[in-house]
Amino acid sequence: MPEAPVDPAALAGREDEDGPTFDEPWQARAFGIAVALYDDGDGFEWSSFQGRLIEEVRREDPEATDAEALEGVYYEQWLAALERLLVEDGVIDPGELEDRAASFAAGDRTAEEFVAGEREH
Amino acid sequence: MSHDDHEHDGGEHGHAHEGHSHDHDHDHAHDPHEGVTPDDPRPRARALQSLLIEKELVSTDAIDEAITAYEQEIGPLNGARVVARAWADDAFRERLLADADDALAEFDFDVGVQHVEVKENTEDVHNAVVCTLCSCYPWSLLGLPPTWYKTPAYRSRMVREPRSVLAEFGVDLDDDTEVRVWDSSSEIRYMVLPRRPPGTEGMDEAELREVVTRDAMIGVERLDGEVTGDA
Repeated sequence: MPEAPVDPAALAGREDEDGPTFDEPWQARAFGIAVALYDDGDGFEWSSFQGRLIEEVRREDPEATDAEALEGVYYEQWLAALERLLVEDGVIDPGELEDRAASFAAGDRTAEEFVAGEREH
Repeated sequence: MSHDDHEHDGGEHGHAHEGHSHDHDHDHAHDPHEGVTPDDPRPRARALQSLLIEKELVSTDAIDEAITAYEQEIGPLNGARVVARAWADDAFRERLLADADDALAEFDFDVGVQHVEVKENTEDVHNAVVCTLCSCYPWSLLGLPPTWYKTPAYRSRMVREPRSVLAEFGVDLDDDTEVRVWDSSSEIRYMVLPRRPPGTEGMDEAELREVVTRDAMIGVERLDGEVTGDA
C-alpha cells in the first residue's frame, strides 16, 4: 500500500513564526513534567524515557494526516511513556495514578492546585 | 482569578486551549470536563503532576519554566546563531565540525547533555536529519520538532527514499550530489550546517542569522541558490 506523502507544506501551515508550540495544555504539561524531572538531575536517564517512547510510537503509528490529530497522538505516546517509566521505576504506584486521574476526571481535583499560592495540603 | 491551567490556558499562547472548555476565566473548580474519563490524557497528565509534586520530585514552577522555555526561548534562533558564526568564522566552523559540544560551549544557551554533531553541506554532499524511531531532535538548537518530523511517513521514507522526500520539500538535487541522512535515534543529535548563500558576503553574524531557516538546519531546504523548486 502506498504511503501518504509527507506533505510538509500542509503540516507546516499551522506553525506560527516562532515554530511549533503545544496545541493543548495537557500536551505542554506532559512535556514539561518530563523535561523538569530530567533537568532536576536525578529524575531518570533520558534513554530510559526515550526507549519507552520508541515502544509507544511503535505500538501505534497514526493514520491521521492532519497536524492536530498527529500532535495529539504523539503527546499521548509521550505521556504513556512517562507513566510507564515512573510506574516501572517504582516512583508512582499504578493504583494511586488511576485514583488520582479519576479524581481529576470527576472534577474532585482541579488544576487550581498547581497555581502558586493555592497549594494543596 | 485562577486559570484552569495556570498560564498555559489559551490567552497569550494562542494555540493552547483545554479541549471543549468554555470561557477560560470560569472553567475551573467545580466544572469537571464533561464526559472525561480517567483515560483521557488531560486528567492523566494532571494526576502525574499532582503525584510528583506530592512526592517532592518536581515543582509546578520547574514544569512551567520548562514549558515556557520551549514555547518562548529555545528555538531555531539558537541554531541560526551557530550557523551564522560558522559562516563568518572559519576557525569556529572547524571547531564546530570537529567537536560540536566543545564549540557550542561558547554560546550562552544551555545545550543540555545531548551530544551534538554538525554535518556540513558541501558542493557534493547534502545532509538531512531524521529520527526513524521516535522524535529525537537537536532541541537545544532548534526547539520543538515540527509535526511533519514526527510523522511515520517522514521517519520511514527519509531513510529509504531521501531524494523523493527532499523533492517534496522543494529540494531538487543533482544526480551526482550525495545525500547523507543522519538518524538521531542514537545518543547523538544532528544538525545540518547549510552552505552559505551567494550574495551574503558583506553580511555580519547578526545579518547572517536572518538568512538561516530551521528547515535548512534539518536539511529539507537549501539556502544556497541551487534550489530549482519553488523555495
